Amino acid sequence: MKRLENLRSTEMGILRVSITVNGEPIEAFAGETVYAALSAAGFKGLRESKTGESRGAFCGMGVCYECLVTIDGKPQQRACITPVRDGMEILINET
Amino acid sequence: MKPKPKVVVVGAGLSGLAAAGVLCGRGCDVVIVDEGLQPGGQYLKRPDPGLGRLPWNPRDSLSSLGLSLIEQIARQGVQCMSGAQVVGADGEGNLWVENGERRLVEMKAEAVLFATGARERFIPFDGWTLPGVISTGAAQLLLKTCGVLPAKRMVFAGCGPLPLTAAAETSAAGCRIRALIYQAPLFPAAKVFFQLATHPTKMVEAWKSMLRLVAAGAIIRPGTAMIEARGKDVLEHVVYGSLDQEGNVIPGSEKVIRTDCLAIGHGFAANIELPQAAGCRLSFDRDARGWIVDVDECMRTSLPGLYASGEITGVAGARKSFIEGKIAGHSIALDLGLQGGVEYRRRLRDLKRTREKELRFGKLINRISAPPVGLLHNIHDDTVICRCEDVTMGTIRSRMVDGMLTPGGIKRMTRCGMGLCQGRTCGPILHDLISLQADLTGPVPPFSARIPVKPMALSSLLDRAESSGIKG
Repeated sequence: MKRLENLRSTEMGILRVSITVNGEPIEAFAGETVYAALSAAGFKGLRESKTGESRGAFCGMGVCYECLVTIDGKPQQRACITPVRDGMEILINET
Repeated sequence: MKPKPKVVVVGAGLSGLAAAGVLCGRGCDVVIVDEGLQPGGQYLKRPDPGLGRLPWNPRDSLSSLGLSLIEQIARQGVQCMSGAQVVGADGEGNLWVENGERRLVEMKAEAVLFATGARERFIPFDGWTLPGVISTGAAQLLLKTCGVLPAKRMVFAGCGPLPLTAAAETSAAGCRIRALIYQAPLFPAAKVFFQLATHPTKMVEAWKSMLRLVAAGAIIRPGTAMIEARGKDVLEHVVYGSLDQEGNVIPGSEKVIRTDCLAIGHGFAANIELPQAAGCRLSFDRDARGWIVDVDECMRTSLPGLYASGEITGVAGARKSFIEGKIAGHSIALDLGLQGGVEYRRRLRDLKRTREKELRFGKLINRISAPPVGLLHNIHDDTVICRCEDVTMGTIRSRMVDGMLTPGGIKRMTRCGMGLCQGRTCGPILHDLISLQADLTGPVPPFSARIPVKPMALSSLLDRAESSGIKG
């Protein structure tokens, strides 16, 4: 799924940043969260639960810990409250 | 010269901001600690300045007040620590904070205000853990803080005002809302209807949202609830059905809708863990089915020097939180000797009256948002209740049948609530489930809260140990 059309206002100052998900570059903009970048790029399942179910972001505000991903080598980071940074390397669905 | 007294405000939502706004002009040193990336909390949901002002941010009078407060306190030199979490507090004004750089900072304040807000609560159904099922708050945050729609096609489900508001907002931003699966019946019972009529502006807003959704092609289904979210690894279909008076799904009423995203919300639970761990007395809010921090009408908790305001003293919406923040600010100023009693009483008279009105509205909304008993009774045995530890309804049900009727007991026996979220998601669900059981004397107790109230990195603690000379 491509980034959804007509979602960003023309008055916004948008600065693109380069980030990768499991080594593949995806589109991201300075100021958004990792969850927003992942969601816009169509990534839904982000990790495996204790019993092996696929799970994705849920509460979106740092409460539920469902959106844990590895960011720049640091495991168990909440994608929903982490802003993207240029050069960020994200790993999802690690087993 | 005497140093300025230090006041720490936990939470930069409307309540914390309102308190800081009162305090910063009165000769105290105010520090706000906030988990959010931007001050403003869950009502304002502000985007990063780098993204500019997104067209979907609220523009009502309360939002404008909040935005001007953020500017005002920044001008007056209030320090706001964003992206930080307070992991502990005690009754003496000590606070332990993991700051944005993930380092442990200790603070000591003459007065502490807890304005930690509320989180969403949920009624589980089969498949609510599938990727693609998100909270209504998550849908709003994606849109308002990042300008991203959760999907092109969505379904909203739940109760209370939020699913309706969030569906209308996402629809206005270009999302195709397929349906609103809404627990409350279309026409509330006559008594509730007349009580709601005493808050006409809020009712007009709700009807406007509903009409806009219908005009955009959404199906609104009052008196229904989610039965199942289906899909292989991600959400593909939702199944819902009509409810009878007791909340049981009427056989044959089930319907299936194809969707990429489902947003759910079933009301709110107060974030009481920090003041609870500090030892503040709690009280049980029957209408909101949850524990809140016990405060007097001046927002003082049971412990001297500790105050609480906003959703944690009773879930009743943004305006009540804002008013209580102001009251707390004035009370702190009075207790620190920075404001005279005459001025205090004059300012508080109107604030208290507005607060009473908002509390009455909150009570009403909480009452009509309560889940019908059947919905909880009918949760299937294989539905996950604790998402962190994958504890199912069946496991919990068998413990309840054995007579275990406290959240703490069920936690120890099943690991429900022992995961990273520390029971913040499953706690209110477990509370609802146990409350259904007969022969309970008094309200079901909350999970206990211990420091650190949020998971923190060991490295944060190690840094602290090294800097204070403790050798490993």
